[in-house]
Amino acid sequence: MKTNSKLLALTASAMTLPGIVLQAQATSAPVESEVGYRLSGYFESDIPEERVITGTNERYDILVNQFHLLHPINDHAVITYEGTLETLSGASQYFSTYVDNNDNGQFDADVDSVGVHMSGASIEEMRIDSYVGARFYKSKTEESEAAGNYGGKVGFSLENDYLSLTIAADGAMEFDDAHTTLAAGASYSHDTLSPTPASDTVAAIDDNTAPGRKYASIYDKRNSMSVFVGVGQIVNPTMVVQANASFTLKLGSGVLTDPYREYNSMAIDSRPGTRAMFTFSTGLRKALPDIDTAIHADYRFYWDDWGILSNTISLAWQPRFIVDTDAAEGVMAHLSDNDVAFDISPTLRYYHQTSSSFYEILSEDDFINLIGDGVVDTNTGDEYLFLYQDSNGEQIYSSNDPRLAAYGAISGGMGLRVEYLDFAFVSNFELYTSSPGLGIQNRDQELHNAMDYFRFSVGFDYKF
Amino acid sequence: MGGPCEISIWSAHEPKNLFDLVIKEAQRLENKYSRYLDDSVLTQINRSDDRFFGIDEETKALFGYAKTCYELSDGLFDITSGVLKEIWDFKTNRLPSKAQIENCLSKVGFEKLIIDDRGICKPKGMQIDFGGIVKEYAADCMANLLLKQAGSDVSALINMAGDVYVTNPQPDNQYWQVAITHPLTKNAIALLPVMRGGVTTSGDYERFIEINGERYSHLLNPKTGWPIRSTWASVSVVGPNAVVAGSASTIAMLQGNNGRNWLDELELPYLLVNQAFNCIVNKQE
Repeated sequence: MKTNSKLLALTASAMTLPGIVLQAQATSAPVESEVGYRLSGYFESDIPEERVITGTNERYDILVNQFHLLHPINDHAVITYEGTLETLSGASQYFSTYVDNNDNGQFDADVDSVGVHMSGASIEEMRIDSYVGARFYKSKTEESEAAGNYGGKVGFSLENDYLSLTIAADGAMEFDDAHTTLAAGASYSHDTLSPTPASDTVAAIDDNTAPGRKYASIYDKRNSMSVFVGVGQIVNPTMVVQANASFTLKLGSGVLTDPYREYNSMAIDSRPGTRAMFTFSTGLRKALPDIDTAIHADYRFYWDDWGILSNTISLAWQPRFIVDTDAAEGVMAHLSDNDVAFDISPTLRYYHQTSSSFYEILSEDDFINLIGDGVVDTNTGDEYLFLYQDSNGEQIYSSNDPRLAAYGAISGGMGLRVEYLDFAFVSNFELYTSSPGLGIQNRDQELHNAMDYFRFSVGFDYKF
Repeated sequence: MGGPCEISIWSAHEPKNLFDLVIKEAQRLENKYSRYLDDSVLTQINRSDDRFFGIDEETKALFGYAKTCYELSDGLFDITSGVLKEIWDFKTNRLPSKAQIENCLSKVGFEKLIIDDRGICKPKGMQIDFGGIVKEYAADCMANLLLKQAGSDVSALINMAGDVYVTNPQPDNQYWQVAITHPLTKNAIALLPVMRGGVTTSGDYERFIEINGERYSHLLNPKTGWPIRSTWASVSVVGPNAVVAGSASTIAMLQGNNGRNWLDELELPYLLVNQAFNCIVNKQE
């Protein structure tokens, strides 16, 4: 059933009647198949020339092709497929250091300058994701008050140095005539990493004894487990509130690192072997039927045991415009006797995070001191250069990855969805800027590569 | 409820309790909102001239819905026009005088009602009539009870004197076929296949007044005080529920020539029967 402002006003008003039949009460499976395609582009701004100590100042450009298919197999079940082909080009950032201008052995933001060591040439990489899934829908019955749906998916993500296998399941149950929805889910990923050396001077990666062997973790394996629970509540016919909480545990075999952050072909990034992450998010959806508009307001809290805490606030305004093709002129007049609906949604988002407890900017001398002479793998007896150790052989955690620094970011964007017959054309773009000054911690700290990016997405959905 | 009612339920279990349950609900609403019962809430409201009468949430919500209909129809759908029925006698075919109409119109107008936390306060002489809402609302309430009691996949058709609610398709995914009555022959002029939702019909062929060969609808224009000389013999609308379908079809009848535009704007499927008994269908696909 279509909706427009007058019908929406009537329906919203009718739903305040206590005995009315809620159309949303029965969770029903989609009855039509749907295909969709999206082309997305993500373009990071270049690093300012004066910041680059070695290498090129280009950062990443990413193009993503996404395809999805949904097909009902009966009244209560659908199968789904999602595929992604992503190409990435740009230069990799090795590490950042500061030049100790006042020679006092520590970083002084006022005096010392921070620079970035980048890879010398642009790299080209490709990623392929493929997931298949199924979802089952359950109606309310005499035996059970609850309606709902549950489903799962399995798939892989493949790059030339990375394979991730994922299995995920989730479900949602509706209570109180669909006024209340409870959702829960869990996922598990097993990642195998085989980082490739970027330099010809580094030995073959299959040789574990070779200096320069890159490690994402000691055995290049990483497991991630995630669980989430959520609740949604219809407050009244025009307002819905929802809240979600999730907990994710990443578990590496040894120490988690970014293997491409290197110094003289040796990994210089050392992070704890586990990472526990918690998020809580809440949102409000308020429809204003008199002016055919909906307002979305969302808040997200994030905390992890690496010391990062973040808050995200986003606002979206979604007015809907309907063009009556009977009365239209020009191109619209050639369309058949169906209205064209436009949803335009400007969005605004603010984000800030605190710094990880082991984030630091080091001088080059510090790197040499920290790396040490090498480590013996007690399982294999192989010796290789690896990570930081203190004088007692204890692991030192350190990273200058800017994603672990304190900063804030603002982004603004616009989405457009045009519906005509069974087609929906969708597009959106976003402009993003970040800097320590936009954050609330270490606002005067110099972020060596605060990033700006532009992102767009265009595509369509078609039901048949 | 102003006419014969019918309930059909597909059930694997003994449905007697279900029938009892929904019939009780219909009686509850009849007792509460009938204009003809002396102790109904509506009768008490109609007696409470110029003072606040406390109302419950359900009644308040019905007034709220009536206000929405009043606003969307530019004042044509007005539950305060009940007093006009006192001067229009559809049984004797006698026309009221101009003075009578003017006197009545002074007691008509939804905007004259005060509804707040204290209840409702209406001017002296004003008569409220939930016709056009309560019968449809009853079909929805009964369906809601059935869905709660027998499960959200229960297949049932509730027909409250022409206002229908269908809960789900019949077994084997068969549509329910809702017959629309021919204004003259009383046979089916059309069958509307319905999976779920409300189907209501407004028309002047069951209740009307004929004076000097001219046929007037039982629907009264609260702005002029006269019955509608309808463009349509009947208007049937399929909606998300009976109460929305009902107000959509009633407003379409009240709007006469503009009724079709109103329904096109709502984008609800409809079947119009004009005075020549030709059918106009828009499935809104």
